[in-house]
This record gives sequence, structure tokens and C-alpha cells, in this order.
Amino acid sequence: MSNTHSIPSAAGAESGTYQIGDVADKVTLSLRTTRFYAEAGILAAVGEDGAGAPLYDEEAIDRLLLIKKMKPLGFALEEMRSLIDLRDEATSDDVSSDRRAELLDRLQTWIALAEEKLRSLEEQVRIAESFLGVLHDDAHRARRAAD
Amino acid sequence: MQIGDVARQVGLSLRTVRFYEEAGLLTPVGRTQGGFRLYDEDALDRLLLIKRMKPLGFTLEEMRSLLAVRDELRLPDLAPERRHELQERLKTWAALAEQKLADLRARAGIAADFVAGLHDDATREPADPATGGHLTTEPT
Repeated sequence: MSNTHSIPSAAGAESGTYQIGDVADKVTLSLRTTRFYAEAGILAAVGEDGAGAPLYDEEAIDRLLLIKKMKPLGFALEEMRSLIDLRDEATSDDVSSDRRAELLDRLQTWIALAEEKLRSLEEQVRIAESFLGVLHDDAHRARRAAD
Repeated sequence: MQIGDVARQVGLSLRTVRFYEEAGLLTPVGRTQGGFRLYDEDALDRLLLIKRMKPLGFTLEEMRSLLAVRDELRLPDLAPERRHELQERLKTWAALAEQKLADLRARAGIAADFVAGLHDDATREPADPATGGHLTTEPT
């Protein structure tokens, strides 16, 4: 996805920031869940509003969207944090090319892991379909036996 | 057939088949003269069902319960009310399996998205310090 912020760094700090409730709405998570991730240190506030409530930016939304995918795949909080840190560092401007290569290598390991998870789920889908097929056959046979 | 033939035919290890037998999910139909247990096609049918239920996370108790419903449904002279009751239980099983399937399909879809997102991250050009760009994906 292309980066649509061509906003120079001089842009006002207030633009593109959200209160936690807006963040939760945008990613369709409950406020409670969003707060949990904020408290777990996965979301970092970029500032505060006049009343002292923390403000978040698009980065927080991006992280939560990633978490939303990882959670149902059974990844632990620590694993989410590890991938997020990896992406943060890989996208940081002052990373040496050696370090960047190392980070990309680690990202490849994540890809391999995710692909394995995907294949295993696809296999389970096939098994569930065939299990359902057996149950439908049983039901059919039972109906015929009743006639 | 003997237990080794059963294991081979369903593609399970001998050890696994023995485990299910000891758990009472499989009953021998007789014995050879040498005392070895003999099984029939029904044992294969049971093991094939078990083989499907296992990776879906069903417990031994649940397997036993479904096998019992199927066994009873095959009895001749089943009272109509009892047959109806068992058919209802089979329907509940089918509904449960449908739900499991829908959940697995949803998770497989999420996993596919996750894989695609990681590929995007890996192929993205390094951030250009001049624009202050970063690798976050836009939610829109």
C-alpha cells in the first residue's frame, strides 16, 4: 500500500491524531481491547489532548490491524510485540544496510511461519469439509432407514 | 483383518490404532487361532471418522459420543422415537461441524491476509529519509 502521508514533518501535531475511542472505532475493536493493547505497550501515544488524554496516530491503527490478524491465528502478545518491533526498526530511517538486511531476513522467517499456519488452516478446512460430508451421509442413511 | 492391516489401510500408526482400541473406540470382531484380534470394515470406517475429528480438536469423549450415535442408528428394530432422537443429535453434530468449518475458513482468510501483509512489508523499498516515509499500511 502506498504511503499517503506526504505531509512534511512541519505539519501540525494535531492533524491525523485520534483519541483512543476513535482508534477503537476505526479498527472495530472494543475500547476495552484497545486499552489493553495500549497498556501492554503495543500502542504508543503521540501526544495528549488539552485534557491530558493520550492521542494516537495512524501508526497505532496500523498496529492494531496487524494485531487483529495475529490474534485469531494464535500468536501470543510477545510474538505480536516482536513482529511490531521488527517492522518498526526495518522502517526506521537510520538503520544501516547490514542491519536492514538482517531485519528483512527475520521478516522472511515470519513469512515462512505465517505460510505454514495458512497451509495448516487450509488443511483443517478440507478435513472439516470431509467430516461434514460424513455427517450428511449418516443423516441421509438414517432418514432412508426410517422410511 | 489384523490390527496392522487396519493401521495401514487408514494410514495411521500401529501405536495410534492401538491407542484408540484401548480407549474403547474400536472393537475386534473375533480372533485368529493364534489369538490375534480381528477387525472388519467397520473398524476402518470408525478410524477414518476419528482421523477427521482429531485435527479439528474434538476430544476422545466427543469421538466416542458420535460413534455411539452412529452405532445405535444402525441397529435394526430401533423405536421410531429413539431414531428421531438420534437423528436430532446427528443434526446437532452437523451444525457444530458447520460452525467449525466457517470458523476455520475465516481464520484461513485472516492468515492469507497476514501472509500478504508480510510480503508487502518485505518487498517495500527502504524508507526515503527525504520524505520521512515509513512502512505503515494505510487502513483505507
